Amino acid sequence: MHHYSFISLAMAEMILVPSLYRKYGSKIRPGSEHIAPGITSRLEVFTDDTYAEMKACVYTKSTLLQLMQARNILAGFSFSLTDIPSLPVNVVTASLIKLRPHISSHVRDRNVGCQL
Amino acid sequence: MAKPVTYSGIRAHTLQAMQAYRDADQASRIKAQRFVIAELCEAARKHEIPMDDLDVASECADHLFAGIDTTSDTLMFFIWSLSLSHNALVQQRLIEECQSIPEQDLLGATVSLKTADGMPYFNAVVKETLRLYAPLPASEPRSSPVGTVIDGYSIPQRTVCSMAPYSLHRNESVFSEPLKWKLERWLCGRKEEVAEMGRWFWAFSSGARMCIGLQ
Repeated sequence: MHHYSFISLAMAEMILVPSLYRKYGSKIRPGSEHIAPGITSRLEVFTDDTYAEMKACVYTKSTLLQLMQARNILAGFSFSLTDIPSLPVNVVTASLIKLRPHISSHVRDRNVGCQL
Repeated sequence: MAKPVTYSGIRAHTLQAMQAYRDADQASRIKAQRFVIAELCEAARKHEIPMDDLDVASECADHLFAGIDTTSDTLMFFIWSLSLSHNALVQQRLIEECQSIPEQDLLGATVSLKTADGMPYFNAVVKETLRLYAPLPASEPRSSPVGTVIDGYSIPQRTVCSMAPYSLHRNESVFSEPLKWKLERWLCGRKEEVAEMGRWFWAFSSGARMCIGLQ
């Protein structure tokens, strides 16, 4: 095993999490309790195998899409944060949304729009 | 030039960048000497390594994917797991650990890297998230230029072999209840059990092609 350290490029951004949870909590957005997020890795799709449903969200007019070409997809998952009167949503969203320019037709068929 | 099978915006960007570099005049190329594309092209020329535009673009795309997808995937599964109602106590304990950090150990509002290294509960959450939801779970192919023997099997030269973190991390003989996100395994397990789990932990791969971010 290669023990990781947060003093490495690979893990450096993970320290955002303690910073976040020092002030906030999080919970699943109502209606999404039985849905797991999914990711793609090469040509395969991975999710939590114990969940019957997987969900990714598709944005069609995000300004981020301007960075990408047509038919690109941003995928994320549905959750909400609690006790956050002035959450810097853009920061959290930027950390969590997933750039998914290509998703196989299998996944696309299962995609349902959702909100971060 | 043939496009990659999985043709994405990032790959398109790197291909366009490579083509722009190839078509650039000499003055522009000199300006680009400090960029990865120029370095790769120069190394390929110097060492007579056959790399076409797609090879260079692929290397560049890998760098971008490694920095974008892995982190966002891990953060996503991390917060999603903590947000599940049956993990409410886990989240509460993590919040308590985060809130126990003295103000002087913060860099502004951010926890320092050194402090994060010393947070056992946080580390267990990260490790369990990387185990069950490794951001690169698919098979990681390797080939050797020479024949070799691995675990008693004779492997001819240039045979592509692969392992998948997805499979390694779900070995039931090593990880009890492998489909469960259960960070207690890292905190409460016997020393030798934790060591064995660590031996099978392969979220960052290993060898010359392991995650460059850990170097």
